[in-house]
Amino acid sequence: MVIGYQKTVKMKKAIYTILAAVALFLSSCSPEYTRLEQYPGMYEAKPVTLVVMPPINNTSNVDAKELLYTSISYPLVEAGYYVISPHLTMEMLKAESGYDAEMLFERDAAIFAQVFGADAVVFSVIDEWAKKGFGIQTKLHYIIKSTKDNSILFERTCDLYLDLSSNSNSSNNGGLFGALVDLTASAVNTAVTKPIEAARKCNRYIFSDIPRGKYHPDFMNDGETGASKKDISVTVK
Amino acid sequence: MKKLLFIMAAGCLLCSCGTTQLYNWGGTYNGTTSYEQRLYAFYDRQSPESVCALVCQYADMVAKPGGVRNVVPPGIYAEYGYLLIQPETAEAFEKHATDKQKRMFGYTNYSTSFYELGLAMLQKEIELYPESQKFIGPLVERLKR
Repeated sequence: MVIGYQKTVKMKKAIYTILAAVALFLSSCSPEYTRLEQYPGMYEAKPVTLVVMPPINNTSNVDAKELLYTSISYPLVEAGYYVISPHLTMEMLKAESGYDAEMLFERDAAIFAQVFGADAVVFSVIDEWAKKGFGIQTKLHYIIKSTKDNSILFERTCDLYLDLSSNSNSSNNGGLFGALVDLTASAVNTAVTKPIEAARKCNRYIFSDIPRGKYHPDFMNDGETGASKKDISVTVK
Repeated sequence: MKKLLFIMAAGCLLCSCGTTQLYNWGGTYNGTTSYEQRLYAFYDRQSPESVCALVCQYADMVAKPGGVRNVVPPGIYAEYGYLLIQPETAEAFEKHATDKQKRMFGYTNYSTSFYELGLAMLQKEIELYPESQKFIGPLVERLKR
């Protein structure tokens, strides 16, 4: 009888714990804004085709530009847009001596509609890309401009710290030696830091709440879906 | 019972976090798609081996569309076609591809076969994504030998 009662109490505790965890998880997910509030221009312009310009690199890290550029297409394509291959775009710009997006940023965006058939053009600016601790500190600015009227459809400034340590979130049970091993592992990981992974994380994070495009099942049905602030400061693992 | 509750709760959490891909990108490793890794290696190393690996990556992606849309992702036919048409690609593949990579194609004359396949791939991009016509159409004309 007593054992049965104890079991019931334990069961109730377990249920409450699970419900509390679910409630906590859901509350942590609750968005501050909706996509429609944050990006009304995207819903009005409904761009289908995007062309991505090579990033404007204001840092001394020459690799950052290509790293960011080779992983920018995936999150936008997965969000339902037709993205003109950045690889082919770059080949064409190189051939036309226009590889530096700085020159193109201020120009009338209509040129991108004429040459690429694009509805909008994606610009990105790298203001910081430096190793810091066991990761990379970045400061990035993304702008999507309409090629019809030069209006800004999407804009985000992001202070993003990419935590690339392999075990920064794991507990260290190995004493001093374990700590040393942890430190070495992290240092090695950062030394060979898969920079592509860092760039991928940046791009995935920045476009995670972009309104979905024509090829996505949620196209024009995601206005009430949650969105982040436009200017964010975050650590991404 | 407890186990069942735990599984249900974990399932709920996973479902709410789950994402479904629209397309197949050749699998992922450590969260990065195989496509992105090979493309970056191609830019970074510019080696004949990285060219061969990228050619095979594209061949695999166009042969196995997947994801929710079950079609090849935008831009992939175009990138593949453009890469195949470059004379250096056939040269690198002929000399440096492994037997396994060569078996994916089984060509005897890579220069001609890659060129023809390349044009066909560019046309497929236009067929599947008509919005690419404005950019790819003139590109095809320029690349015709």
